Amino acid sequence: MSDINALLKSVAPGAEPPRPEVVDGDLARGRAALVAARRRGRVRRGALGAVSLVVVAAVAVLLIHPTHGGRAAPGAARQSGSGAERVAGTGGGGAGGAGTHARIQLVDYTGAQLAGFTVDQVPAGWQLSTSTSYALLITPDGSTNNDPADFEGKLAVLTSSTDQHGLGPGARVTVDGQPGRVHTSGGVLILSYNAPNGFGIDIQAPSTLGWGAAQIVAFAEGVHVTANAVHSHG
Amino acid sequence: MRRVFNQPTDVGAKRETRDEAFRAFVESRRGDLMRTAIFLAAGDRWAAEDLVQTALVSLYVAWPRVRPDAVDAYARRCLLNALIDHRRSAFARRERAHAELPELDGLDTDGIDMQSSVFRALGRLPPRMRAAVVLRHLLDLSVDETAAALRCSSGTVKSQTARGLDQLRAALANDQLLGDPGRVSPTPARGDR
Repeated sequence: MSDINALLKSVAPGAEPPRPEVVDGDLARGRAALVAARRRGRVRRGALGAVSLVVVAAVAVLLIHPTHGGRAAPGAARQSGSGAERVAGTGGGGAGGAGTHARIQLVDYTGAQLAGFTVDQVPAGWQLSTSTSYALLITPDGSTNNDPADFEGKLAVLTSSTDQHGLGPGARVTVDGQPGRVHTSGGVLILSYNAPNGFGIDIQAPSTLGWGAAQIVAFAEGVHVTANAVHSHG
Repeated sequence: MRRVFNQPTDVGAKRETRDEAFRAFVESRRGDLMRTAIFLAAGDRWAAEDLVQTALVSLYVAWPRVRPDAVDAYARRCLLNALIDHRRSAFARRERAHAELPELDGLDTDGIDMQSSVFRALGRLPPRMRAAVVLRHLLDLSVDETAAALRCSSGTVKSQTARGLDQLRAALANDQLLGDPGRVSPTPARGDR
C-alpha cells in the first residue's frame, strides 16, 4: 500500500446509509427519467416513421411517374435500356398517357394463353378476354364484354393492317430491339412497332390503365405473336 | 427452442421488481458511491451529491440491461460519466480555476486540516487524472478495472496515475502531510508506471 493509499483512506468519510427520503428521491428521479427517455424514444420513432412514410411516398410517386425524372415501375423493369427511357427523356412526345388514372402495374401472367398470341405479363387485375387471328383483347377482371370487335376500354394487341406503311407518328421507342413509335389518340395510348417475326403490331392501351410509354413498351416486350396470327385488314 | 419466461410479463410487476431491486441497491451502496464521489469532486459535498444523483438516475434507466454482478461497476462508470459530463457543462466552464486558493479568515494554519489538504490537492488534478488516482488508490481497483471504468487503455491509466501521484505528493509535501517528494520513496501501487 502506498503512502497515498493510506492518506486517502485515512481522510475518507464514513459510508453512511442513506435516509429513506433520500432513497425515495433517487427512485422518483429514476422513474421520471425513465418516463422521459421513453417519451423521447416514442418521439424519435414517430419522427423516423414519418420520414420513412415520406420516403416511401416519394418513391411511390417516382415509380408512378417515371417520366418526371424517376425510374420505371417494377413491372416495367424488363425494358430498362430500351427505347422507353428515351421517350421519358424527351418528354414522351405526347405519349405520357397516364392522365388522371392510377397506374396499373404489370404482373406476370400464368393463366391460359389464347390463340394467336402469348403474353408474359398483364395489368394487375386484368385477364385475357378473347382473341382472333389478328387481335388479342385484355379486359379488367369481371368484365363481360367479350366482343372481339369492341376495343373500348380494353387493352388490345393487333397485328397491323397490310395496307399500313411505316410506324406512324409519335415518340421513338425500341421494343425488343425493334423500332417503334408511341402516341396518343382520343385518350388511347398507341404503340406501333415491328415484331421480330415480321408482324407489324399495334397495341392500344385505354386511359384507365394510367400507362405511359414505359409501361406499354414493357407490356409489348412480353407479347409474342404465334404462327396462328395473321395480318389484319382494314 | 422453447422460450422460458423468467421475468414477470406484467408491466406493473416489472416496474415493481425494478424498483425493489434498485431501492435495495441504493440502500446498501449509496454511502460508498457518495464517499467515492466526494473524492472525485475534490471534497465538494454538494457536487458529490449531484454526481451520485445523476449516476443513480442513469443506473435506474439502464437497470434491466445491467447484469446483477456488474451493478457496482456500472454505477461507478455512471459516476465517472457524470463527473466528466459535469466538467463539460456550461456551468462548469463558467467556473474559474485559480492557481492559488484564497485566504480564509479564521483558518487555523498551525494545525492543517488533513482532509481539506488532500481534497485541495486532488482538486488541482484534471478530472480524469483525479478519477484514475481515486479508483486506483482509494478503491484499490486494478489497472484493467480502472481502464474499463474510464474507457481508456491500461497505459493511459498508468501514466495518468503516475503523474497524478507525483502532483499529489508535491502538493501534500508542501502541507507537510508527506515528506519531501524528493526524499520520500515513491511507492506507486502495483502496476503504475
